[in-house]
Amino acid sequence: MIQKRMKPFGLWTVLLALLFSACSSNVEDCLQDGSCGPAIQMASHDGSLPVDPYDPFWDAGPVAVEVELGPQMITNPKWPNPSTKEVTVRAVKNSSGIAIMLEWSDPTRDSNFDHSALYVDRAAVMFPVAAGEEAPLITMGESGKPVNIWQWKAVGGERGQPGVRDNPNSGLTYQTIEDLNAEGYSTLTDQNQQDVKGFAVWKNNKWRLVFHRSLTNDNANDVQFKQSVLMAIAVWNGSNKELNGQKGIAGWLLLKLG
Amino acid sequence: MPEVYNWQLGRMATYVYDEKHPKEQFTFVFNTNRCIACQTCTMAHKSTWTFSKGQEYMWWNNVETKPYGGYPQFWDWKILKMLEQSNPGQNVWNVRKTSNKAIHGVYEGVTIFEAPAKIGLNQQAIGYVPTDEEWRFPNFGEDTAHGREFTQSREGTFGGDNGTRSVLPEHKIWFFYLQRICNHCTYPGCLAACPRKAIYKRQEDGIVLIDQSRCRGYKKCVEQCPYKKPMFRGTTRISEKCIACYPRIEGLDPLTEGDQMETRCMAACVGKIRLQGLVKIGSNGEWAHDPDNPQYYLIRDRKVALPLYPQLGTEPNGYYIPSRHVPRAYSQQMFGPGVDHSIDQYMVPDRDLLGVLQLFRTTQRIIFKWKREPGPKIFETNIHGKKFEMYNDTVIGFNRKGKEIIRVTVEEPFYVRPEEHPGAI
Repeated sequence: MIQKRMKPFGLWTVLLALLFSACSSNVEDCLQDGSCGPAIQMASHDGSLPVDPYDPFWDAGPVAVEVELGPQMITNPKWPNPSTKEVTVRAVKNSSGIAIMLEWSDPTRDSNFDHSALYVDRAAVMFPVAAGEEAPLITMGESGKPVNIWQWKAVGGERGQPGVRDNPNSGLTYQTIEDLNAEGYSTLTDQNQQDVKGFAVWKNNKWRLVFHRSLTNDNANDVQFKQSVLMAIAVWNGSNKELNGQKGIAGWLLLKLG
Repeated sequence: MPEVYNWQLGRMATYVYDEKHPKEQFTFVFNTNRCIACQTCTMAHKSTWTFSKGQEYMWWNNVETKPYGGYPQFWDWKILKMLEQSNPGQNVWNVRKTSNKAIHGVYEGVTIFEAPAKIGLNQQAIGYVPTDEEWRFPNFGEDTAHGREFTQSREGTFGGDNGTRSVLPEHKIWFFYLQRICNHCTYPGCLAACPRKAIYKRQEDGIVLIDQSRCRGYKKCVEQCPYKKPMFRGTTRISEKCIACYPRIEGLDPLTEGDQMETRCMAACVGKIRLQGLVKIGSNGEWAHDPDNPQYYLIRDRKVALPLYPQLGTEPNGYYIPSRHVPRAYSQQMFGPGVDHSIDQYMVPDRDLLGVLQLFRTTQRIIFKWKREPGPKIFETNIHGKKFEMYNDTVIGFNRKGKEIIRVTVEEPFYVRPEEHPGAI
C-alpha cells in the first residue's frame, strides 16, 4: 500500500521508508494514515481498578467512545448482518493494572448452553502481541504475527476453564473469561497461563463487561501495555445464533495509554 | 473449491479440501433384512461410550424405524428437502452412464457441498442444527407402518398422502429398520465445516475423530454433518462423535491378543446383520481390487451393499443391503440406483454370496479375507422364477496375518442333547 503510493516519487521512496521505519514504534501513527481508529483515551485512576461493571467510576471518569460493529465477511461462515451494531468502550489504568469496559444493548441474556440448539452471549477484545510493530491482519492475526484475545462468555465451567462466580443478585452463576492466542483463523488456542480476569452484568437490556489485567507481566504470549496499543472488538448475540465467525466486529481501534 | 473423485456418484465432486486418502478405510455392511430392532447394538454403544452426565441424549449408534423414525427426528427428510430446494427437480441419477469410474451410474444433481453455491449460502455445506426436542426420541415412530390400509384408517395422521402412496403386491404396508452409526465418510461434512480444523480423518484407517482439545463447541459439525452424528455435549460445551471404537480396531483389547476387533455395536449384534472391516486404498486413492476381502466383495465386487444417501456427496463408508419389502423408489432415494441389482442378487444368492453372508457376526475379530470350501447340495427351489440351489459349503474367515479365525457352514449344525443329560447346556 505504502509502496504503491510512493512509486512516482523516486527519492521520496527512500526518505519515506526511513521515516516510517523510524516511527514504526509509534503505534499512534495509524490514526494519521487511517489504518486504525477511533482512539479510546484511557483514564488514569489512583485507587484500585473499578472491576465491577457498575462501579460509579465508569460513569464519571473515562471518556466513553461509541464504536460501530460491522459484519464478518472474510471467512466462512460469513455473517452479513450481526445483531449488535454498536458497542461503547471505556478504559482505565492505575499504577499496576488496566481495565476495559464494553457496554452494548442486548434485550436477551443468553447464558444457557445446555444443548446444541442454544447459543450464548460472548464478547472479546484482541491485541497484537507485539504492540509496537506493524499490525497483524484483522483476521485473528497471521502466521508470525500472533494476537492476544480475551474472550468472555455468559456461561462457565468449560473443560475446567476459569469460571467466574457472579454475585448472587445478578442471577448468573458462572461466566468464563479466557486468555487466548491466535495466528490466523482456525488457530485460536487457550494459554496455559491465564492472566485475564473479568466479569459482566446484564441489566436494563444491556451487558456491561469489564476485562482487567496487570499492565505488564512476564508472559511472552500476552500483550504488554507499555504504550498505546491496537485493539479490536467482537460481540456475539446468542439469541441471534451467533458463534465463531458469525459476529459483529470492529478493528483496529487505538487504545491510547498516555 | 477443489474437485475430488467420488466413486459413489461416478464423478468429480466439490469438496472443501484436496482429495486425500488413508491407507485403509473403516467400512461396514448392515443387512437391513435381518434386523429385529432389539437395540442391543445401541446399548453396547451406550454402555461403552456415552454413559456420563451431558451424554444422556447421545446415541452414536441408533436403530430407527423407517419411514417415520429418525434420530434426530426427521434428519433425512430435512436434509433431502434442503438439497431439493437448492436444485429443484434436478437432483437425478443418470444410470445409462455406468462405467468403471461410475459403477452405479452418474449423479447429475448437487451434493451438500455443491448446494451452497446454488443458493448463495456462505458456508461449506448446507445443513441445520437439530432442536433439543428432535434429539429426544431415538426411535420415534417405532414399528409404525406405511401403506394403503394403514393410511386409509388414519388419514390425516401418519402417511396421509392422498393416494400417492406406494403399494406393494403382497405387503400392503411396510416398514424397516435402519441401523446407523457415523459413516466415517471419505469427504466428511463435519470435517469440512469445522472452522477450527479440529476434526481429522486418521491416516491408518480413515476413522473420523474430533480432537477434544481443539474443539470449542462451535457446532458447525453438528450443523453440516448430513447424518447428524456429531453431537454437542452441554456439560463440556464441546462436541463428540462416534469414534469407531478405535482401540478395538487397533487390536488393543487384550481379549484377542493383538487381533484387530470389530466395534462394540458390531460385535453385540443379535440379528447377525453386521459385518465390519477395513478395505485397502490403493496409491491412486481408489479401493484396491481385493475380492477376497468380504467388505470389498459385498460393496464393490457384487454391489450388494450400497451407501446410505450417496447423493449427499460425503462418500459415506457405511453400506446397506436394502430391504426386500420396501417400495423400490423409497429404497432408491435412500441407497441410490443400485437397489434393483442388489435385491436381485440377494434374493437368489449364488454359492459365494451365500457363503459370505454366513460370516456376519460370527466373530468379533475383523475378517480380512474369506474362502469357500465346497460342500454337498442340500436344497433346491425356485424363487421368483429363478432356480436357487443351496450347497452346504464351508466358509472360512482369516485375520490380517492370514490365520484362520472363523469357520462356518451354510447349514447350521444340528446338536442333539444326550438323553442322560437332558438339562445340560
